[in-house]
Amino acid sequence: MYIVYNLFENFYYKFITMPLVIRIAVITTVFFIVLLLFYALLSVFNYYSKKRADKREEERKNNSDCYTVLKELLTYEEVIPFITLEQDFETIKARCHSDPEDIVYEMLVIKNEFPTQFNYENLQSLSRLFNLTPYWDGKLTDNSLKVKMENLQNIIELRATISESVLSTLVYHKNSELRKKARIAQIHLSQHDPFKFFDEEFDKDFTVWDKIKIHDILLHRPIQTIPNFIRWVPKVKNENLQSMFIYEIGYYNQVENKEFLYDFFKMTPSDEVKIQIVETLNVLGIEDMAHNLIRQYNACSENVQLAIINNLKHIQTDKFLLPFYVHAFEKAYETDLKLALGDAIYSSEVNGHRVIEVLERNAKGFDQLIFEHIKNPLLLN
Amino acid sequence: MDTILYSYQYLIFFYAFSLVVIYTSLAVLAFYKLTQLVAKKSSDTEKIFRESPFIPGISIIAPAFNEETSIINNVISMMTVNYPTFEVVIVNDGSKDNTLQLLIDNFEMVETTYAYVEKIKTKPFKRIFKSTNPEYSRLIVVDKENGGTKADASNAGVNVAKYPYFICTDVDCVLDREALSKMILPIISTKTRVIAVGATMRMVNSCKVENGVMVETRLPTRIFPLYQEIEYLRSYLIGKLGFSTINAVHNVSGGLGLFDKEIAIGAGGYDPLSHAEDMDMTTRMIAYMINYQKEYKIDQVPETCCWTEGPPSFRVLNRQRTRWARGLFQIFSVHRKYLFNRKFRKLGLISFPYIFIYEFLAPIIEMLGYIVTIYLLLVGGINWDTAFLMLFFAYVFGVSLSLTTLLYERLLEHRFKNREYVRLILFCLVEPFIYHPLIVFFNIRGYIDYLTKRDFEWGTMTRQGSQDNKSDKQKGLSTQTIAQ
Repeated sequence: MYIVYNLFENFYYKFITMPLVIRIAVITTVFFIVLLLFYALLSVFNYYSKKRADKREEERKNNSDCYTVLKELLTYEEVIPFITLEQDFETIKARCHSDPEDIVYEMLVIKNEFPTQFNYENLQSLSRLFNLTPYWDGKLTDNSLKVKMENLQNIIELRATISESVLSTLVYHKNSELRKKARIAQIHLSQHDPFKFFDEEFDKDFTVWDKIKIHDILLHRPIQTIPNFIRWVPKVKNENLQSMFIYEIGYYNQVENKEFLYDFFKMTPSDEVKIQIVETLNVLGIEDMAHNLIRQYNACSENVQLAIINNLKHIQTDKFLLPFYVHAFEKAYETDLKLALGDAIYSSEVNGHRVIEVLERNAKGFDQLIFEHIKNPLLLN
Repeated sequence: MDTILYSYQYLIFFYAFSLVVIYTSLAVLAFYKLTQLVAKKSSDTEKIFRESPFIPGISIIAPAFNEETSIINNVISMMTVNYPTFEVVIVNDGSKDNTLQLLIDNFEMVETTYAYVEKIKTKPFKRIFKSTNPEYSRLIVVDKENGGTKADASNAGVNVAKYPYFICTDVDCVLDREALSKMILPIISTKTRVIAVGATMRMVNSCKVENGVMVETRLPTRIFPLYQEIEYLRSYLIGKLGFSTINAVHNVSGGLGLFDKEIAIGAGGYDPLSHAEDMDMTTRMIAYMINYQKEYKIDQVPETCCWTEGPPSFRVLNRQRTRWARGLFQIFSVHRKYLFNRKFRKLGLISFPYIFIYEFLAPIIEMLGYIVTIYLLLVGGINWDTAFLMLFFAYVFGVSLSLTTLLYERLLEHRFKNREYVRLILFCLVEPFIYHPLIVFFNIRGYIDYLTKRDFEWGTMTRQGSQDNKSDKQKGLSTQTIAQ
């Protein structure tokens, strides 16, 4: 002990007399040597953890009985009454893993292998039988952010039931990813207020990716529980969220909102929202809105004009549209707009081909190429 | 003289130490980002991508110049990416071989009328080909006069691209099937406008590729591609990933980069006169956003999205690195106004100063170090204890950085077998003595070439080919000119 102390003391006195540069170099070198030793230890640790995980995985695979019985129940076409499952529970339990984590793992494997045949009602019953709710609740209150995220994702994927009180602790979490995931889960899981966060702009960090995930989760809800989205359109400020609501109005064919959407088209300054309104109106039936949109045409930006033309061109019965297209074509100077207008004229069943021929005869230079372009079947979208 | 040498040595030490501090910080930042990404990953992303109506379309642009040995497999590779809305734009940049004919024959293409708008100026455009087979309706081939650079051909591709985002890649690259989904994710999951996204690239040498699709990744057997693999991983997983956490990425690689088309066109597209057209365009896109006072972000995806061929020989490595060095010199000649310019925010105060001091000046300082060491050896002015300590300090730092990179790769993707990792570690241990001095030498050569205006033509690269391409090579077509 005394020798070690002496060595350390000698080194310390030698070290403090060294020039600053040398001291920095020594400290840095020692730091990196320690780091390398740490990496070595980490590698050893990882090696053994992987070995342990592989062993567990192998054990799980060896017990294919659990997979077989769960697969049979979860891919069964009809809903098995809970009472029937309860009667057979001892048999099912005897064939299954004892750890809920392993059962959830098998359920996810089956869901990914048979996404279309997967019976979510039977999964609900099995979850009740295996008493998985306390397991999920425990995972969602775990200290690790990673565990919370992973399990929330699994809950969403399996459409599992959890306590709303547990979920409510996550919907205001400081981590934006977890918070948003919890809010999306709320849409799916909440019994009394699934759309609470639509009133709160969903989230301050709302992005296109959230829009994609919300649309996906809405698809999982029974159609009769889908609300009328128009109530949030004027309320929210985020353009992405606004355009998502407008898209959903079209997707769920909420035709009664057409007039309001057109009024909102006139009010909103956002091109993104205007374009989405035009597309939704096309889904809901744009015929009776065509003249209104034409009135707004000149006051719109190029992208909105493009959206109007591309969505109006599907109307074949309105004979007043063709003169509008021709007039707009003559006034347009942007190539993309000219191509869209030319295409609208060409696809018009009311003399469209004949008008194109006349215009083509009078066209010069690049305009002539535009007509060749729109007539080219290989360039159709 | 002694005072000068003394001051010089102090200066070099603090230069090296600041480099240690910067790289350690970048490694910490990169680790933070990696943990965030791992937490974000979910198994249903692929399904959501396939079914969502909100996913933006992407145009894959790949310029081709004399690429007859690999063009068909690589177009197939691009056509098989797993993404709902995309097109593949191949720009035949006046190839003198059978590149165009092979495309016409294999994909049933016919010349067609097209209203080509020159949003970015290029060498004259000749014609457009589209396939009569609906199976290849996503493919479009642009035939143009040779512009001498990849930049000119890429610009023609941008002019034809119809989607709001485009990926620029090399036609000899093998894309990961999920590359587009991985690269669009930062764009759709951020509130700020993301103008460009880079991704990790690796060496295709020794990998098993079947019909243009990566089947098995293997560590390159040759020494230069192997070192380039380590170098790429270090650059992508520590450098760029670290910088991306503070939104200070200065370059989205020309081999694979996703760009916002509107901003790329607004910034003037690729500069055909640039030797580092990727960094040049990224710089101009950043400057464009700052000039118009728009918020922007450039992101980096750590996952491997593309495999490219590494230089198989000393000669090819020399050509590649001298060209990169010329490009770097040119960047600082053309864009010197950004350097230390407060107006250009992180570009002027972080990215450009970093590249200038630690990338551009590094080979010069290192070369000067060799000369001073030789002088000190001759005059007997070396304190050996201190010299060994300093060498060990630099060595331990370099090795730690490389091993940190390998650790990150293993945490994220784990692409290699254990014995391949052992090989990589062994090569990392000797890298400072074998590969690094060569790179310094090539860089200095590139600077001299730039200053003396020598050898400014696009290099030729002898392709070895991945496992898939070897059959083509046996037909006697092993050399092709690339403009990468």
